[in-house]
Amino acid sequence: MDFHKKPLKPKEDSDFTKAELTTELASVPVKQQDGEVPALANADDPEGNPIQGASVDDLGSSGEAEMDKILEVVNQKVKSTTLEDKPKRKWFAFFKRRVRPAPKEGPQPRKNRPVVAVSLAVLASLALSAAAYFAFWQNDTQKQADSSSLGSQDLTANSSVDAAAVERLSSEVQAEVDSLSDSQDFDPASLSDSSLGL
Amino acid sequence: MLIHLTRRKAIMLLLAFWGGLLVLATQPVLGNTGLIEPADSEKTTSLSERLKKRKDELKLSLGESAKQRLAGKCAASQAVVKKLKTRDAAARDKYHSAYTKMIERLEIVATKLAQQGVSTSGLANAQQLLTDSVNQYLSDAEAYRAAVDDLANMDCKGDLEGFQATLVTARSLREKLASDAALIKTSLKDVTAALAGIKNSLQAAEAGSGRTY
Repeated sequence: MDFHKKPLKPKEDSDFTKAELTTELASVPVKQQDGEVPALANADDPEGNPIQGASVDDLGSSGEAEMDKILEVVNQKVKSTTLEDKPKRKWFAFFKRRVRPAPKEGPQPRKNRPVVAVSLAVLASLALSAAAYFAFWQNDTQKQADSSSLGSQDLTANSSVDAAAVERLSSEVQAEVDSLSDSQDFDPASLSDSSLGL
Repeated sequence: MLIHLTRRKAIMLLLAFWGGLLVLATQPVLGNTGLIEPADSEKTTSLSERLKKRKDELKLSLGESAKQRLAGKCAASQAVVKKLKTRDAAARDKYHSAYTKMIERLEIVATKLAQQGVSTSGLANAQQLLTDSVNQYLSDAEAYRAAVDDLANMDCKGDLEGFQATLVTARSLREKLASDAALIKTSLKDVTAALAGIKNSLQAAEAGSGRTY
C-alpha cells in the first residue's frame, strides 16, 4: 500500500471500491475520549497501525450502517492499542544501550573529544603505577640486602641460632652502638651564641 | 582498546590507582620491627606556622638591645648554621642506620629463637624498651632537623623573635638527642643481659644433648 504517494482522485460513488476505502481509513486520525489525537503511524507497519487488519468484509452492505460499523471497529482497535502502552520505567533506561544520533550530513564542526584526555590520563596512571612499583621493589630489594648483610652466616634463612651466634650478635651490636660518639655528635656548644657569633 | 574507555571508566581507573598508591604508602616503611618513620613537618606545615608554634610555646620577649644585636648578627650566624646542618645530616644518617640495623638484627634472632622453642619473653621486653628508645630518638631527630633547617633558611631580620625561638628549640632538641642516645645505650644493656641468659640456656641445652650447630 502506497498511500502517501498520490492523493486519491475524486471518484463517483459507484467507483469507490472496498480496497480504496480501507486505504482511506488508514489515514484518518481518530479522536480519543480523553481528547488526545494519536499520531499517524506508518500504515504498512502492522504494529504501529491500530486499524491494520480492520476488514471491510465485516461490514454490512449499506452506506451509513457500514460507516458506523467501520468507525466502531476502528475505535475499538485504537482503544486496545492505547491501553497496551504501559508507562515506561525511567530506571530501566539505565540498562539500555544509548543510540547515537545519526551523523549530520556535510562538514561537521570539530569537537574537543575526551578521548585524548582519557588516553593521556590512563597513560599517566600506568606510568605512575610503574614508578610506584619500581620504588616499592627497590625498597624491598634494599631491605633484603640489609638483612642479608646483618648477620653473615648467623642470620640466613634456614640456619638455627646457637649460643655462639647469640654471643656474637650481642657483642657486635654492643660494639656498634658504643662506636657512636654522641657526646661529640650532639655537642651542645655547636649551637651556642659564641659558636654562632651572636 | 584504551581509546574506547569512557570518562566514567577512566575516573574509576584513576581512583583505583590512587587507592593502590595509598595502600602502598601506608605500609610500615621498616617492616615489622616496630620502628616509626616520623613525618616530615616541613611538608605538612608551613614555615610561618612552625615559627608561630615555637613562639607560642616559648613566649619569648626580646628587649631592644637584644633585638639590635640579633638583627646585626643573625645573617652571619645562619652561614654557620648551614655548615652545622651538613655535619648533622651525616651524623643523623649514621645513627639512623646503626639503630635500625640493630633493631632488625635483634628481631631476626628473636624470631629464630622463638621458632626453635627458646623462651624469649625477657628478650622481648628488653627489645620493646629499646625500640621505644630508638623511636623517641627518631622523632626528636626529625624535629631537630626541621628546626635547624628553618634556622638556616628563614628571614631572621624580618622575624627576630621567631629566629630566637627556633634557636632555643634547636638547642633544646640537640640536648634531647644526646639524652636519647644515652637512653638507647642503657636499654641495649638490658637486651645484652637477656641475650646472655639465652646464650646460657642454649649452651646448657647443647651440652645436655651433645648437639653441635
